[in-house]
Amino acid sequence: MKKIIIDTDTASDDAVALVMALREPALKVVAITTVMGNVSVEKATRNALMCVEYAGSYHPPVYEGMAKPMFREHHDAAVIHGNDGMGDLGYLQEPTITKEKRHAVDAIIKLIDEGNGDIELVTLGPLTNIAMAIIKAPEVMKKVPCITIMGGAAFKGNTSPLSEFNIWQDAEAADIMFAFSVPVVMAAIEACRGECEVFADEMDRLINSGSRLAKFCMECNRTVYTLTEKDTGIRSFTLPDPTAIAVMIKPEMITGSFDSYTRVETKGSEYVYGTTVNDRRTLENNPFRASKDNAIGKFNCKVVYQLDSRAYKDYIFSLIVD
Amino acid sequence: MKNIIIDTDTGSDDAVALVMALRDPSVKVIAVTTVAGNVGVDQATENALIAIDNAGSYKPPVYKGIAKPLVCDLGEAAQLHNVDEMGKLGFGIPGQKIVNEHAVDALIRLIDSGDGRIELVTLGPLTNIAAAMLQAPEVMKKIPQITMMGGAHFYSNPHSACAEFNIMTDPEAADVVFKFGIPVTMVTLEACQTNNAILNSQDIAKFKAAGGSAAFCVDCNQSVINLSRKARGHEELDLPDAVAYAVFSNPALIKTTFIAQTLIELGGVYTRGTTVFRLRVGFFETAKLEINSKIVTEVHGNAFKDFMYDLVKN
Repeated sequence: MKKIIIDTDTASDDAVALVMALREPALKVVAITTVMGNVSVEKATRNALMCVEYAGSYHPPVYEGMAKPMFREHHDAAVIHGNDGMGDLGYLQEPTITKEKRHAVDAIIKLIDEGNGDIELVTLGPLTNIAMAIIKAPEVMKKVPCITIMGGAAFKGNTSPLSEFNIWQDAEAADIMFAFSVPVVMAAIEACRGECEVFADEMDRLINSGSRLAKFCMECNRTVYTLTEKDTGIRSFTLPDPTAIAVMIKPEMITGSFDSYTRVETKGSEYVYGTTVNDRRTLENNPFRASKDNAIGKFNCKVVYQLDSRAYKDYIFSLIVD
Repeated sequence: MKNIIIDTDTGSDDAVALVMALRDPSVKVIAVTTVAGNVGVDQATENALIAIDNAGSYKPPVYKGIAKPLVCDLGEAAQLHNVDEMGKLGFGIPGQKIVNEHAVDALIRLIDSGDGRIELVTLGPLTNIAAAMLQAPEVMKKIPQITMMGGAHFYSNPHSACAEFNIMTDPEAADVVFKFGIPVTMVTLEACQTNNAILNSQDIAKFKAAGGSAAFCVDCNQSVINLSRKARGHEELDLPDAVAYAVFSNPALIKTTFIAQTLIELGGVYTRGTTVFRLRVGFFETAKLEINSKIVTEVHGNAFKDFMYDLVKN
C-alpha cells in the first residue's frame, strides 16, 4: 500500500482525482492539503472536504494551505470550473466534516518528518505549499521519495502558448520544486487530451448509472463540458488531475513519456512565464549543444504526455461508481 | 524570374542553399550579404565566396555585414558547427573579391532601387536585416516577403533547451524583424529533421558520386557528417538552410504549416531566443492577436531531396 499526501486546488477535475485516490485499494491517503489555484483556498478546502464525504471510504485529515502564489497575485479559473469550482450545480451537499487547524505547509513537514521516507506527494494544483515546505524544512523534505504532479506542458500550454495553468499560477514555486533533489513525475496537460477526453455517451452512461458518486464526478464538471460544447460543438471534457493518480498507480498505461532536466521559466515576458523547459538532450546524443548548457543529461523529471485512453478511462470509471 | 537577396552566416548548410539558389533557373540572386552566426563574419564571407565558386554558375556581388549580434555577444557559435572553415577543407582560395560596401547599406540601396518585388531569403541571425529596418524602415517596407531559416517549437532544439540557433544568436534582431510587419515564412529546424528530410548515408553517397556541385554540397558538410557518425554511429546530414531555400523556391514541398503571431522571447532565463507561436488570445491575455508569420514544420522529405539533387547535379 502506497502512502501519499495529496495537495489540491480542489475544483472539478481534482474532485474526480480525490475520489479515485480515496477509493483506490492500493493507496492510503494520509492527508489532503489545499492550495489556491482553480479557486480560492477556502473554496478548495470546502470542495476537498465535500469530496471526502462523497467518496464514502475513509476521512483523511484536510489541511488548508497557501492563499496566494509566492510572489504574484492569484488568478482563478472560475470561467472553467464555475464560481464554486464544482460546476455551480446548486444541489451539492455541503460538507459536514471540517478542516484541521494546522497550516498545510506545517502539516506536510510534520507528516513527512514522522514518516519512514515512504510518503509520496501527489500534487493537483500550483506547487506553492510544496515549495514553502521545501524552503522551511529542506532536510525533512528530502525524505520524500517522489513527487507526482499534474502540471506543465510537454509541447503546448493551455494558459499561455507554452505554459500550463498549475505551473503558470506560481512558476517560482514550481521551479523551487524542480530544482530540489526529489525526482518528479510530471503528468503533462497533453496526457488528458484526445481520446482520453470523456465524451457525451460515457458521461450520460455514468450519470444514469444509478451511482450517486458517479453522477457527482461527472456533473461537477458541468461548466467545463458546457464551455467545451460552446467552443467545439462536442459535449466532452478533459480530466487532467486524474492522470496524476493513473500515472502513479498504473504506469503501464503510459504510452508516451520522456526523461528530462526540467526547470521552469520565471522571468521574461508574459508569454513564457511558467513554461516547463524540458531539456531532453544528453551529452551523448547532442553533439551540437551550446557549451553553456552544462546541466543537460542530469534528468530530474519524467514527463508523461500520453496514456492508453481506453485503459485510462476504464480505470477512472471503475473507481468512481459506488 | 524572382529576384532575391540572400543573407547568410555561411557555414556548411548555407553553402548548400547558396549553390541551389545560384543554379535555380527560376531565381536571380542579385546579392549575397554575410553576417556573423555559425562562424565569424569574415569566415562566413570567405565561405560564401567558396560556395559561389563551387556553384559553377554566375557570381553575384557579395557584401560583408555585421560582425556581432545587435546587443549580446556572438557566444559559442563556432563550436556548434565546429569547423566550417571551408578553406581548410581543400576548396582553395575564392576567385572573387567582396564588394567594398557594407551589407546593410547594400541591402537598403538594392531594395530602394528595386521594383518592390525583391524578396529576402535569410539563412542566419537577422542582424543585418534588423539593422537595415532600423536605419531605413520606409525602404525596407518595400520587401514583399521574407523567407527565413530559423525558429522551432520550444521542445525541439539541439542547441539550447528552447531556442533555435539563428534566433538564439540574435534574439533582439529577430524581434525587430517579426515586429516590422513584412510577412515572414519561417522554415523551422524541425522541418529539416522530420519526415525523411535528413540526408541518410545513401543520399550522401549519391551526391558524392555525382561529382561537381553535388559533391561539394556534401563535402563541405564533412565535419557535420563526421560528428553524426561519432555521436549516432551512422552518417547523416540535416540541411536546415537548404530546406528553407527549397521551400522558398518550391512551396509545394511544404507538408505541414500553420499561421501564427510569432513572438521572440528576449528576457527569459531558459527561454531567451524562443520563438513563441501565439495562436489565440489566452484566458488571461489582453493583447489582440496579430498574425505575422507562416510557420513550416514539415516538408515532403524525399521530394525535397530530389528537388535539391536536380538543382545541384551537373
